[in-house]
Amino acid sequence: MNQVSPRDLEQVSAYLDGQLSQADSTRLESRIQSDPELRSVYEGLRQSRAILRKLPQRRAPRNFRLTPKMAGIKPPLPRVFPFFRLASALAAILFFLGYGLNLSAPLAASTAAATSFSYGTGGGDPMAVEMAPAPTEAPAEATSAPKLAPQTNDLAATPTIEEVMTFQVSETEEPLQTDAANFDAYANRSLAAPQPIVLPIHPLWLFGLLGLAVVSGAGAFLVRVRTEQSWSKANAAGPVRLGSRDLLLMALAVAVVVLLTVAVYWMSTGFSSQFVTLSVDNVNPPITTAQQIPFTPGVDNYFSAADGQGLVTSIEFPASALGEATALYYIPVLDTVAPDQVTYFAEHAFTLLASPKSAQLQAPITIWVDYGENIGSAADENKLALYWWSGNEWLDAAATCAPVSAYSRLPEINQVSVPVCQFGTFLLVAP
Amino acid sequence: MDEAALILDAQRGDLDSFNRLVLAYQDTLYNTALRILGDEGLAADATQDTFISAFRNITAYRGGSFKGWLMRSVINACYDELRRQKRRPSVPLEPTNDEDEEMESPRWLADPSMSPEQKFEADELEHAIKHCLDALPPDFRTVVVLADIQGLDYTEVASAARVPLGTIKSRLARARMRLRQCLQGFKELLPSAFRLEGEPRSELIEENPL
Repeated sequence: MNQVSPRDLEQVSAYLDGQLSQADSTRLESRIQSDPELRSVYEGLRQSRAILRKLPQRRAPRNFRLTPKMAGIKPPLPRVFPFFRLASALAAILFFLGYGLNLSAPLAASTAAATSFSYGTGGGDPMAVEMAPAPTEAPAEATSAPKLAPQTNDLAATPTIEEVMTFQVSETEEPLQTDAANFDAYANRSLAAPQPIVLPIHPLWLFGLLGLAVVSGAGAFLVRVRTEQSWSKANAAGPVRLGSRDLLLMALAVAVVVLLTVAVYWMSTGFSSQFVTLSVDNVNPPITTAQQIPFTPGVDNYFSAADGQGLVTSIEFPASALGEATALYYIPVLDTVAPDQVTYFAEHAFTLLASPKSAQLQAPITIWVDYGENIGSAADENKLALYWWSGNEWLDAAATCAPVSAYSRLPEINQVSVPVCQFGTFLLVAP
Repeated sequence: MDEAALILDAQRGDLDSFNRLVLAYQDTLYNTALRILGDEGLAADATQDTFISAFRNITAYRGGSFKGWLMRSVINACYDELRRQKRRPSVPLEPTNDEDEEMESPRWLADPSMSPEQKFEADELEHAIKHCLDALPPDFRTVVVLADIQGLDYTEVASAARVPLGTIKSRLARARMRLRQCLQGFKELLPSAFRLEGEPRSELIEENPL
């Protein structure tokens, strides 16, 4: 049978399927009758074909109907979904823009501080001013007509605080080196603290934007899940379940939001101390002369300093007040700018420091300030007060004591006095 | 069932209409894939994949035989699977393993006209055929499955397998010849009517499909 040519084989195969022309069929039929080889091939193919045709059709083992999921049909997006998504995205973008702007603010502020040191317009809340340029001028100058003569005379000639300290250390020969270092650090800190960082975008805005992004993102998620659930119910596609991937993403989103919230909170509170550390070197002209206040432990001490106009500031340190303090310093602060919330600023400011810096006042000390004649019509002398920088806002110095101490005002001799209970920086103002 | 209307609805995205077409053709596609691939699980996968891609591409169907269109698609799926197997050869399943028995067609089991012996014999015969089909090169197997098992005519086979008509003819002839030789090894399984010896010659002329 194997001697049959491929062409004959094809012919026989086609003949079985009725694919030969009438003439070819007749010719092949007669050849099959006469040629046993060809007949054997014919029989073989016919039987193979018949067996295959008899092969039972199997029934499909399962139903191959498509579910909507297999068909790639997705549930329709709810109509509000794009709105939520857009709101969330916009809020997030604005948030990061604002955050970035705020991050770059300290840089600008310290640059501004290098040219003009000031107590700033931020006043009680350095964050309260939005979109305000870094303060360089005293608004008080515009409002207070008969103002005190500025104390910025002959700054170049006066020694810097470092020079003073160096001088003192070499002079005393006492182990003041650590004190000097402490003082230096403390001075830096103390001076840095009142420096307002004016954030271009108020942190409340950032919190708001973050909240909006979260709420609209959650809204988008919820409306989508709800639509999907009702859709799959209607299409019998099985319940929508949250996969572990979804849960992971949600946890990640929560973590990011918590981190951002902390970041904004930190930015709004810790900025002044975290970001700006003005060194004495780049504060110009912050300090003219730091005076060490001489005192004898165990007895009441009294100190007074006169400024360029002969106006005297006096401080009484009771024996019980000084605690662990080993050195005290009085530093006039010049070229200051009034806090926003006051109506009048006498342009009189000074810093009281103690070494070591952990030293606290154990009892109230009393401060007397002479303010001279010039104040006259500019402010109500019966309302003059000392303000104290708490590290993030200006407070009435009387409030540093508990209970709040009482002012004693003597307009006839142009003097005001108040017991205070904290070291730090003080300003004479009319609230 | 108005097939044309169902197709039109399916083209508009109506899954229910498409699923009615699935029910109509799933046995044909599954059997085709089963004979080409020789494995029930793979055949089921190929069938499912075919329907999925058919639904996704149904707008590409532009008239003609819908069955032929589906056939072409299922053969594509089978060839993809065969190519995959060629890249990652695995140990072939024995034709007579337990799983094979379990997957027996319910319709087949329920057939009341067959005695257990007949069923057993037919079952054995089916295994023999499967064995011989699997021994064919895939191109030959496809042609013989389409023409002799699914009963497609030459042009339908050529369209489904995307092979010229002449090639179909020669492949079919050679495939049948090889099958015949292979099946001779299972002579005792063949129904007596199909055995080669002792067959009356007169049948030859009567059965001529002219």
